[in-house]
Parts: sequence; structure tokens; C-alpha cells
Amino acid sequence: MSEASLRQEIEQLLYLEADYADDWQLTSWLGLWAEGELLYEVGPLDTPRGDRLSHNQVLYLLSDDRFRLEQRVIRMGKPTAHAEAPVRSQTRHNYTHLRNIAVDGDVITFKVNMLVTRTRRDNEGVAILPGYVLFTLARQNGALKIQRKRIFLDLWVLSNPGTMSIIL
Amino acid sequence: MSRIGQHQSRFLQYDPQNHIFRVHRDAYASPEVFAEEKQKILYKSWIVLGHETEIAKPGDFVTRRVIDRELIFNRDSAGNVNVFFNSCMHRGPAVCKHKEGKASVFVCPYHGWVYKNDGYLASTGSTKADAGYPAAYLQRGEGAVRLQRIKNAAQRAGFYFVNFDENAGPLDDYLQGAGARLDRMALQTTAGFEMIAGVHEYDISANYKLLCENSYDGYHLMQTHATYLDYVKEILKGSNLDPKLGGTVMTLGNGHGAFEIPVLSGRPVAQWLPHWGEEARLLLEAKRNEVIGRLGEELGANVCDMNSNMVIFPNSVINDQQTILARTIIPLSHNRMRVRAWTIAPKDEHPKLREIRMENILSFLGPGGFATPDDVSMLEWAQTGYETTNVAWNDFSKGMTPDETPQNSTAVYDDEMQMRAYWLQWDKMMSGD
Repeated sequence: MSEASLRQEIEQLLYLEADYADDWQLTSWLGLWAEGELLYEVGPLDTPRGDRLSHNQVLYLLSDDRFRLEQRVIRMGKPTAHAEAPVRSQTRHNYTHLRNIAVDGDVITFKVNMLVTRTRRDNEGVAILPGYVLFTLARQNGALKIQRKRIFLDLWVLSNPGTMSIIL
Repeated sequence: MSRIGQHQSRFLQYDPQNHIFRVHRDAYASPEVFAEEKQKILYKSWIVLGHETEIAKPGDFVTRRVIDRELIFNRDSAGNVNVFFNSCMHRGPAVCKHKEGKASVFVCPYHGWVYKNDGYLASTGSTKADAGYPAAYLQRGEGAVRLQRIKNAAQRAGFYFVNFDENAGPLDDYLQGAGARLDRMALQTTAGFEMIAGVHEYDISANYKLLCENSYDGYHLMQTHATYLDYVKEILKGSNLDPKLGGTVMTLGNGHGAFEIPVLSGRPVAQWLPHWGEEARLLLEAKRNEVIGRLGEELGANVCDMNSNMVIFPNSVINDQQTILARTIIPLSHNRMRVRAWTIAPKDEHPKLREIRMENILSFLGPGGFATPDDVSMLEWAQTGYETTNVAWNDFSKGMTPDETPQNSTAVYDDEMQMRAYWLQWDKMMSGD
């Protein structure tokens, strides 16, 4: 596969993933993940080069394995998940600067910049969540699936709102 | 301590005989009350600054805000602990812009004044500049220039506190029963504690006292945390563990209070969950045996099997649950706060148990957990209720009895006695000059 077509395939996956997250199609979003072990995490806010430290060494904002990610998605869909119910945040994921694409057999890693906007009806203004993502994809049964999504935000303090109750 | 009789103040309707306790919402929603409360309460109370493990070695420092004051908390080269205002004695800029580190001197970037890590002025930038000042400025005797030190800084069980009131009484007197609760947490290990890197820092658009109330509120668990309790059920599936919400609330004197409830979702000291696996089960069994062997069956089981959330009046929250978690709250205004949550763990903790600790923290606590975001929403919606309606009073009457006292009383875990003790202290201080 040429680099251009791989890049295109990655971009298609990222755009689909962004749309599912922004549309709150949580089950479909979860369906984009690979079978087996996975990792979805948001790194520490106040630690430069936080991506060099694991969630066992420094206080991440969140770090989900398969069980917890599935439970997160179940929780987010419930009317009793008060932080996002009855009115949900409206989010918009933007990915740019796709780079450092590396292929190792069926595993593909890359880095991409991320800008997510988050709007809430009960909270004036728009929250901007800038950062980058280290993705690991795996090709399973011919399709690219997400194995790891490690997000590192350019924030010192989580503010307006001060919670991470959305899919980032 | 004798109980305080029925009274009505600006902020309280307190009537023990008729089972009524209400707090006026101006206490949360008025900018004027917030300004008054800073002077009468926040600047006159002992407030958690940090932990001794942050400044374990000579030269270690952190910079930190307490209430609205910027501080340097350090251990100087001689090993003494200092808390300074982070402001150059010449024209005012912060002399330290780093969050943490190791430093033998602090240098003001403006004119280059250099301070030793014990605060004394060592240079005003150059020999030539030094010549322009009284010689005493740079010596350690009378007339010496030194970073302004907060006189009242003290520790209990490793937790450092400051009090901006020059005339404050001793920390231990202030803490009353809360001191013994801190000592109890320290019993988890004989090896001492270490700070886990990283903090959860997040803002909440609500009065800081709402988070204090929420932190030891057993009553809200079933309703607010329905989804978290579902998650706990999921975790326990297939095991014979069936923990129940229960336990007690207690008053600790001077407005402090706590609740103590059985561990619901495991903890590294020392309660196992099935999905942690066999290796973890053996390690936790060993840890539990170690604690019980050392402290005896009753106290040991209490240390291992009970979560405890404590509010040290007026704004320090120390929770002993999935981990030992301190929430120091910076009240930014009457309706906004910044939470700084950090955690300590036993130095000698097995890596597998540390892994469990970290996982457990993230599933419940913090802005990305399965519980805290829902709390935050409740607090923000409560604040909105105060600011957008004319309803005047909040109710704290649940489980009230005529003979309860602000110290050494206990009640069932979902009563509001500990909050009444908080508000009685708050009202007493606000009623003073």
C-alpha cells in the first residue's frame, strides 16, 4: 500500500471517529475499536512531556482499558449520567497535522494534532480543548481499528466546564 | 463542648427542639458575604498547603496558591521548612516561576535580587548595586532583607497547613478530632508516604462550600452516583462481595467533620476486587495481615475496610478512599472555585498494588472519573438555583436531634449532622468582629 493511500485510509477513520463522537453515537464509536486489549487515555494536565510517563507513574485525567471504556460508554448513555443529561455537550473534533506514520506489520502508529470545541447550554462560552493524540491502529480482518488513543492536552487547568464527561 | 441553643442569625435558622436547621443562600451567592468571609474565616483558619513529601530534601520547593495568596513552600539548605510569599521585597514580581523543583537561590527577574533558599537576600544583582544599599540589607542581623515568611505554618501527620493570621493558635488545637483522623491515615504504612506525580486541577462554577458539603455527603450517593453504583455492581459480578452503603458521620470539633463508610470498590490498603486477579488478592491479603498484625484487629480492620472523607473547616478536604486524596480548594469568587486534587501513597507499596491504586483513582475520582463529573454538575446547578431564584434558605435538618454536638457526635452515614457542625462554626466566626 502506498503512503498516500494509507494516509487517506487513516484520515477516513479519524473523520468517522470524530463524527461518531460528536454525534454521540457511542456504540458506533466503540465499534471502531480493535478486538483485544485497548487503551483510551487523557494524559496529565500539568506535566510537561507527560506522554513519556505511564498512567501508573503520574496522575492521568483518565485511563481506560477495554472493561472501563465499555463501562464509560454504557454510563454516558444513561439518563442518570447527570453531567451529560438531560442536555449533552455539543462537541466538534478537528484533527490536523497527521504525521510520524509508522507501519509495523498490522500495527500503525501516528501522531495528530487535535482541537475539540465543547459547547454547553448551561455554561456560557465555548471550551477549547487543544492537544495532540498518539494513535495506535491495528488492521483486523482487513479493516483499520483503533487499539490505542492517548490524548495529551495543552492545558494546565480543566475549566469551563471543569469535567471530562465527553468522548475526547 | 456544650451545644449552642436555638438562635436565628443573618445566616442560620437553628432550632434543635423543632428539628430545623437552615442556612441562608447569601452564604453561597453573595459577593459581599464572600469578601467578609475572607477576612473573618479564610484568613483566620488553618488551611492545607501540601505534604512533607513534596519537600523531602534540602532545596526542594513548590509554588502554590492558598486562598488568594501566592506562596513558596520549601526546605532550605539547612533543612528548615519555610513558607514565603512569592514576591520580591524590592518591587514585587514572583521570585520563582517554576511549579516545583530544587533551588539553592530564588532570583527576581526584574532587577536581579537574589535570595538564598532560607529567604535572606544575598545580592541585589551586582556588587555595584549592592553598594547602593545599607550594608545590613545583605547581612543576617537586624535590618536584613528576607522574603516575607508566613509565621504560622505547621504539620500534622505529614500534611502542612498555613494560617495567615499572625495571632493564630496552634494547629493541633485547631484540628481537634480531625488531627486524630489524619494520624489514622498515616497508619496505613510504617514506611512513610510519597506524593504521586501530577494533580487534577479543575474549576467548578460554584461556591467552595458546596464542594465541602458534597465531599462528606452520604445522602447524595444513591441518587447522584447511580451510574457509579451500577459500575460497582458490574465490577463485583460473579464474586460473593456485596458491600452495602452504610457507616457513620461524625463531628470533630471547630467545624470539622467526616463520614466513614465501608469500602465499596476495593483499595490498595486493603480490599480486593475480583477483576484485579489472584496475584493482587494475595498481595492485598498480605497487606491486610500486616496492618492488622501491627494495629490489632479492631483498629487494623478500620484502617483497611473503611473509607473516610473528612472536611477540615473551612476548605480542606482529605479523603481516604481509593487512595489518600487531598482536595485543596481555592475559592476564586463567591461562585467559582479551583480544585487542586493530589494524592499520596505508601512508599513501600508493591508495584501491582500501585497499579490498582492508579486505576481505582481514575475510575471514580477526578474530572474524567465516573463520579466527580456528576458531583460537579450538581454543585453548579445548586449555585444557579441560588442566583436565579428568590428562594432564601437551604435545608440541613436531616436526622437532627436535640442532643447532637459539634464535637464527638455520630449519626448514620446519610444524615447531615457534620454539615450542621460546619455551619455552626461558620456562623460563629461570621458573627464575630
